[in-house]
Amino acid sequence: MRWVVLGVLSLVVMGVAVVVGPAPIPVSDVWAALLGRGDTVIVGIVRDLRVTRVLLAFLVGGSLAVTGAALQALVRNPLADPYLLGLSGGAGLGAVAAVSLGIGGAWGVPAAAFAGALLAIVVVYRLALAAGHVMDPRVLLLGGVVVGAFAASVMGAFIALSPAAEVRSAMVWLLGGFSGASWLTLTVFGGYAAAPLAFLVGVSRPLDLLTLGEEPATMLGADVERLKRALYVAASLLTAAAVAVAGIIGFVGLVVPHGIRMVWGHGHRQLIPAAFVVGGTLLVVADLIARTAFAPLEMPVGVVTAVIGVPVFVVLIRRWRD
Amino acid sequence: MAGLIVSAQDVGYAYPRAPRDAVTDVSLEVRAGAVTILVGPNGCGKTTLLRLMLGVLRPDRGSVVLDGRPAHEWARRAFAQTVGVVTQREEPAFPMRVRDAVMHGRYARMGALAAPRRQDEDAVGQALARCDVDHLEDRWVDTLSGGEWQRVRIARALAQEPSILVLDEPTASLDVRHEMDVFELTVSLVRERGLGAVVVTHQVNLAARFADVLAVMHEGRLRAVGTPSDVLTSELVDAVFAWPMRIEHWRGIPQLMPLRKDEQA
Repeated sequence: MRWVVLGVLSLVVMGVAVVVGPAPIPVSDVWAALLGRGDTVIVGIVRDLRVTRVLLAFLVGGSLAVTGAALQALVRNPLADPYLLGLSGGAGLGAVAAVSLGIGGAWGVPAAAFAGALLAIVVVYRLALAAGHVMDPRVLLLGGVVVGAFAASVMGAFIALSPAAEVRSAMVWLLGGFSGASWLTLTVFGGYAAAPLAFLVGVSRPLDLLTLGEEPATMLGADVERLKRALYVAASLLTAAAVAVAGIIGFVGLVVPHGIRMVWGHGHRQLIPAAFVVGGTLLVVADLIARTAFAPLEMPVGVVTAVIGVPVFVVLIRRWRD
Repeated sequence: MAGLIVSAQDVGYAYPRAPRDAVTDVSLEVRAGAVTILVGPNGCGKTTLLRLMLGVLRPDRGSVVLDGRPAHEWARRAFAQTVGVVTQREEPAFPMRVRDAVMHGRYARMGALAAPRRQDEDAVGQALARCDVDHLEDRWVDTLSGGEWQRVRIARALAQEPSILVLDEPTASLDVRHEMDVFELTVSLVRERGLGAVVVTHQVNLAARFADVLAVMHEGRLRAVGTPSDVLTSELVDAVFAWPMRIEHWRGIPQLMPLRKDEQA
């Protein structure tokens, strides 16, 4: 029943998001355009701009929420977030460096952000293993903070030394948005995200065990060391790709799993798929607000998720205590 | 040999960068249908020996064999089908209900994504009932008392349907009633199901009363193995526990009484 409600809700939200946009198009024309009939300009707007944008927002939102849920189990802390592990810093540095060095453009900035995030992943991973042959999630967190801070300061240097206009475009890009959505980005991201998403769904039960602590999890039959490493790699790669196609979109990975935990419990077999659907739906809504609230200007979607996410999070934290 | 489950032969192990062995030349056999209790002062190597026997550590010398195969070579999933462990520490990061906690014991016997089958539900129900925690099945585990929580964790180990049960300091923070309760439960499970059991504890007197086999460790070595009456001699007690003790007997079982400074004579 709950799944039916969730499914219907997400479909309705996506439908509304496809209908509403800066160019007023009647619902009947939207429906015709979806089927490929009617004015070719409208077909183009509906199919190539709105549908791709809504689907990409859904996929990215779902990926971020699933990543947050998995990382919360990995570090055994309900406040973990996909960007906690230094990824946002690495991605930001990559993007700003690319723009400053004049290798921006439609593919340059996302590619550089992805490369920066990957670099941060490698450094944090090496740090977390430096203390011995086992991965310590606490060191993972510390490493993430340190790498993020370092990247932010280097980013500051680039910003200080670059012409203002270029830096502004890099910063706006970083704050997140789906204006670059196309069938190509959708296909690339979807193809790329499928494997890590399937992996995270597949390890739902071991994730349950991991929340008990590493020793009990081992004794109940989980291969904890391999699980931790695979989790970190899957979660990071997913986040890096999300940053590359949509910039840094905060709070989806934190608030969505948190809310589902409170309503639906902590079993990952429900939590992971529910986080995907709810996270996707939430980001579609946030993007709808971002592109309509101040139309024709567009707000960065990361600003919208923060404005929604922070108050929700405050409420959740207060209820968490009860 | 009938009933032999775990066999440690001349096992030695040193932690990386440690100056000396944590465990030296230890040989110990754990048999089905017997309660083996491991005692010894802090830092004597009990926990290291246990981790070697559970395949978490790989011995530098000698071998630990479980059911014909070196313990550290077992896949964790297969190991969990054979050995149920109540670890010393466990702090769930998220709230869960008692029944779900015990269902975690079925992990090693379930499919990756499939819902629990009838046999899983049955095993959990029986384990809950056997450990007298079935009335708690809908409670959140963080609302349980220490004694209830330990019984739930023993029920979870039972739900694994193991042939050996391992408890690492299971009564560390329990009062007398719950302490006795945990030991009585463990012994009765061994008696009625023919399980092997290994218990690590600081409670020498309780160990003496519940153990079929008492093993005493000191400075990484196994100082004595046998029935409590054979093992707890005044010579061994003086050497191992580093405190003057008087040995009394209760129904033929030795019990240690630590002496105060002015009682030593």
